[in-house]
Amino acid sequence: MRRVIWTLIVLLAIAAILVVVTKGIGFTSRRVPSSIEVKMMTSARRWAIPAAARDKPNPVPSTPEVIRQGMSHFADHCAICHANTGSGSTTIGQGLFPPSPDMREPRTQELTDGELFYIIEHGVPFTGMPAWSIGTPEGETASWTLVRFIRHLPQLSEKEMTDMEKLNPKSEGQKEEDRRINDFLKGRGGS
Amino acid sequence: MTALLVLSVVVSAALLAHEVTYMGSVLAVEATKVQVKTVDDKTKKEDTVWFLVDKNTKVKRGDSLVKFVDAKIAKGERIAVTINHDAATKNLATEIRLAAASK
Repeated sequence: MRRVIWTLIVLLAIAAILVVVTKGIGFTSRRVPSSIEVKMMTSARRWAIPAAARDKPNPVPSTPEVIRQGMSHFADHCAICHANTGSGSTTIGQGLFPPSPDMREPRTQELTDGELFYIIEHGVPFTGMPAWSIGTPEGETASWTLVRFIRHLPQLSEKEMTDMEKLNPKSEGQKEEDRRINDFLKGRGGS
Repeated sequence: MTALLVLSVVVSAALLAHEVTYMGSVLAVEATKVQVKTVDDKTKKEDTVWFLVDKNTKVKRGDSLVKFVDAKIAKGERIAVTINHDAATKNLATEIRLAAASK
């Protein structure tokens, strides 16, 4: 009986905290997480990733070809939230809660290869990061290749960024918009 | 000629709801901002807007990505500036596009 009462008290306390938090700061993704939230979530993530996964070495070698493959994959799948540079400075990335991190910064770069791989494969619950695992060895190789590219982000050259622009997926509407802007810049549009 | 270059602000149908692209001609360039003269397509009203530039602003000269300082933006040249109306900083350019440099 006592245990039931205590469980109810704890549940009520959690509910009260949720009410205060959601009503107090608003039910919105358009806010910056507090430093306490960031600390709690990064600690929880670190704790949740199994030690064996954390310490896994990257089986994919770091070669220019691997970086190129990772770059192409990143531009096609990841850049819409993370930006080609890894800055996270995209409309979607900054609208998420928490916002996409700047992957060039220590907070990402200090993660082990195994942690980065685990996050790509399994995603991060309660964030915008989906799980990309497809359960095949080829899929795992693609994720390890992405880890190599993430390590390369702080050294990304302007030439590589320009190349990535061409690899970003675009809708027909975006292509049309690009054409219109290019025509204008070349002096063909406007009044 | 300059007047002819003062062209449209087209609240372009942006790829995402709150992104807007302004097109016009450059009036002034400073270290972290660029002033653009635009004309609203619908109202034909001229406007002068300062757009801010930060380290995340993508600057494209033709197809090449360049640094803002290396873009060598000239007064009077045509420019397209994309901003995100939801960004915390008002008129912060997410992207600046310029014609390819003439050879």
